[in-house]
Amino acid sequence: MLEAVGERVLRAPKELLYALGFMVEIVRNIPAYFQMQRRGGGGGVLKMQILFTGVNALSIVAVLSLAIGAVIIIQGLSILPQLGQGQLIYTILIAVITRELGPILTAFIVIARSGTAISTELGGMVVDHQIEAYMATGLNPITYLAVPRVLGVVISLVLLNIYFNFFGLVGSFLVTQLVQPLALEEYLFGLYGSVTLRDFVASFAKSIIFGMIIGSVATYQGLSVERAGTEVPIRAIKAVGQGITLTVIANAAITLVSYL
Amino acid sequence: MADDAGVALNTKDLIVEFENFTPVRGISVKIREGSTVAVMGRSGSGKSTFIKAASGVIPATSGEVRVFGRLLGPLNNRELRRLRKVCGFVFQDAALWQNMSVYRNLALPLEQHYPELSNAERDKKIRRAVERIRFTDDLNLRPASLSAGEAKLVAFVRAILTEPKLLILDEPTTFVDRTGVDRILSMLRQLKDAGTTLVVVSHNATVVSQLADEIIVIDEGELLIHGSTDQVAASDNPVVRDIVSDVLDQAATFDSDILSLLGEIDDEG
Repeated sequence: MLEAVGERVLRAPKELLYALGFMVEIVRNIPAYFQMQRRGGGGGVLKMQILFTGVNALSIVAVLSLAIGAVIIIQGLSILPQLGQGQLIYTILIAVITRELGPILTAFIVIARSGTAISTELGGMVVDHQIEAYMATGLNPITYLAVPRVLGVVISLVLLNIYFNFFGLVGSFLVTQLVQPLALEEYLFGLYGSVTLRDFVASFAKSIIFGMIIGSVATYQGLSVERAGTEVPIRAIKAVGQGITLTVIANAAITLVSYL
Repeated sequence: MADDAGVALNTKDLIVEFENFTPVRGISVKIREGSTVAVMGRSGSGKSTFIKAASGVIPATSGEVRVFGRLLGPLNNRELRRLRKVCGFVFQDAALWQNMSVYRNLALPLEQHYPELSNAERDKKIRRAVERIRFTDDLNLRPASLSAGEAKLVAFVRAILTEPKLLILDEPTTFVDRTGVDRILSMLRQLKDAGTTLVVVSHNATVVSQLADEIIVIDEGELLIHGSTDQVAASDNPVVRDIVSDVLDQAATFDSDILSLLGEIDDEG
């Protein structure tokens, strides 16, 4: 029993290291993917991934960001004026929406939707020997299947982050109109005065890195299925667990580097 | 390298290990260019794993594989693609790509190996092959809509479209109806006559008896015998005899049918 627990504890960091090694392999294969695209292959996978991960997630991201923006402004407007710091609301909005919640919440949405979908799809392809069929045709599964999925997740995550920021900040403004009407000009000026270039760079750097992590972990877990269909859901669960763990660690690291 | 002159496929001490078992235990064979070799054995004896490892579709745990003299393993993407162009593979369960249409399943290997073909030329090649095998009229169907037999025929066409010099087939006739089997056999005979090296895993005695020059018998992951059909027929190993008995009976029937047919032709003449 103790031995089994110990083995599992030791296996987790090893798996994470393998997933990171796989990410390096994906980056190495990006030029080969674009070469293949020039020959006319693989473009469809990228488009479908952006459609599924980015476009199809727009509504859930819109609802989430509007609601969160509203909650922040309601809380802020009820607390900050009591402390004589009403103007801080803009700084808080930028800090919470742009710097932190935008990248991390869209990442969680993508992990839940696309991370599981990618690992399940690829795992099923392993079980059906479709991956072997790609190999037998001379198509490298990493170049043909993993790279476009990872790129699709990265592109989608950057776009979803922009979308989240837009709706989060617009949502805040709309709620402000209900609670404490403000001129649009004043609101935008307040935001403009609080935001810095560093906020945008950190936010988009996060989206790109999170996208790499989520895409790589999901494709790695999917392609790690060996033989049985029963492995597929297990790998999907691992894709979610590892995706969240690595994303949260990367988020803390980027925030530390950017703001301390 | 000199040893490999005229050899299509050469495996040396090939071992494949999975987590809990070892399906291939040190198999060494040389398959000559232009020969047709049947790989036989009981179910679960390691035949499919052997041919997959021998063609580099799955990695071997240890041992060496050479395809047309080139050592598999340290090849880069471009070299591997070049090798795949000359080495086709038909999977036991068809392994069609489910996320694309039947047409795309056939077009993708051609795009990969013959990028110089125009869309019209590629289309013509696909239509011609489909017409010869005659499996479906609607190539826009998804593989999930096909029966197992139809999927097998699509997989067969996918493998031969690139005109490989070495064609490896894992149970090519399973799930296929009688007429489909006849069409596959006829195509395989044409490929054999054209000098293609064929490696066929099959339990189908008709397929083996009508096509094979040589037989490889595998049992529990080990090579029991590799020789001409006559050599294998003369083996006194009871396991070998048990595995190939149906084939030998069928071959005898086939030979006597041919003899009686020739006799009838002679009488009429």
